[in-house]
Amino acid sequence: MEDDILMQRAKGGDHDAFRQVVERYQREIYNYFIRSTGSIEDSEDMTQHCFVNLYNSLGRYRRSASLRTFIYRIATNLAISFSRKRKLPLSLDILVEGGCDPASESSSDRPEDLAYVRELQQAYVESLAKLPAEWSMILDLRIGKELSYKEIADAVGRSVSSVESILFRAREKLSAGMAPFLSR
Amino acid sequence: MDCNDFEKLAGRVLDGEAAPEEATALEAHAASCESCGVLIGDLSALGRLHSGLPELEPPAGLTDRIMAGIKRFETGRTGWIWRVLVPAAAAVFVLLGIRIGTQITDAWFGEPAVVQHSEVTGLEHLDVYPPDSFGKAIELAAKGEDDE
Ligand SMILES: [Zn+2]
Repeated sequence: MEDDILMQRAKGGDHDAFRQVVERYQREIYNYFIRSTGSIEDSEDMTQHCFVNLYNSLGRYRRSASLRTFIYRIATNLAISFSRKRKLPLSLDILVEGGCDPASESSSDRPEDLAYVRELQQAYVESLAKLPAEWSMILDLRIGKELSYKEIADAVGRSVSSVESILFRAREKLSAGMAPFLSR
Repeated sequence: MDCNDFEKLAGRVLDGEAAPEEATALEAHAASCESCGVLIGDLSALGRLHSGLPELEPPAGLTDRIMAGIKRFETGRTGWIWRVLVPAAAAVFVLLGIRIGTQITDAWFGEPAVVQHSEVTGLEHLDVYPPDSFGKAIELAAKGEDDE
């Protein structure tokens, strides 16, 4: 069922419809919080807050807006105010210990290749953690969640040109951090 | 296009936000300039690294906890209406009753019946949430405000 229909039903007090919205988006929002806060425990709380807040904002949701962008707007506001108080550096370990080993998903079976993938991802995650919180969120919205510049601008409350300029600077910094691994 | 233009445009092309002619110009430059060819390769490698970052499954029961939170939130909201708005509305009725009663009394007993607006109105200025409530905290967080 389409997002809009679910949201209209939820507006009318249909909890099952809202539950479907939660089921549809909780995984990506949860992971968005993990990447922006570096904390698994806090990300669970924040995911709950995000959806309670979405429920409380049902009246402000308009059919023309993308629900996904609307949710990311709420999530980004929460993540930004959280990161002002406490942001942990994201570590690959928490992601791996959390149940998913990135290296094991590599197409190669050779242990030295797996170790290299792990090393590369570790370096990337460390470089990502050094970016200002908002920059890494914007980068994740673009590359991780594949939102357009316009959607990101709506979600973070900035202009499209400002989003583009942040992405440019974020990539520049990441390239510098990853220089030992890159071909230049 | 020179190398500076290339660097500025590369991200937009990778992000699928460039016009077709920009993408063509970028490709042509990358084919003829070694360092820009390497740059675009590096940037797309970074993109692949990011997309390949592991994602976690949400903890079991998260949906149920979210839905329970919504029910608590709704109860809290209704509770707030019962705790504050209903007594306030009751007070308004009592005061209005006294005023009307006074006016009727004044009219019956010859005092000038000056029609005045009740001063006990304007409940709309009350916050939707009490200052320290869960709802207020979420509302502030959603606006990007905090108590710093
Ligand atoms: Zn060049």
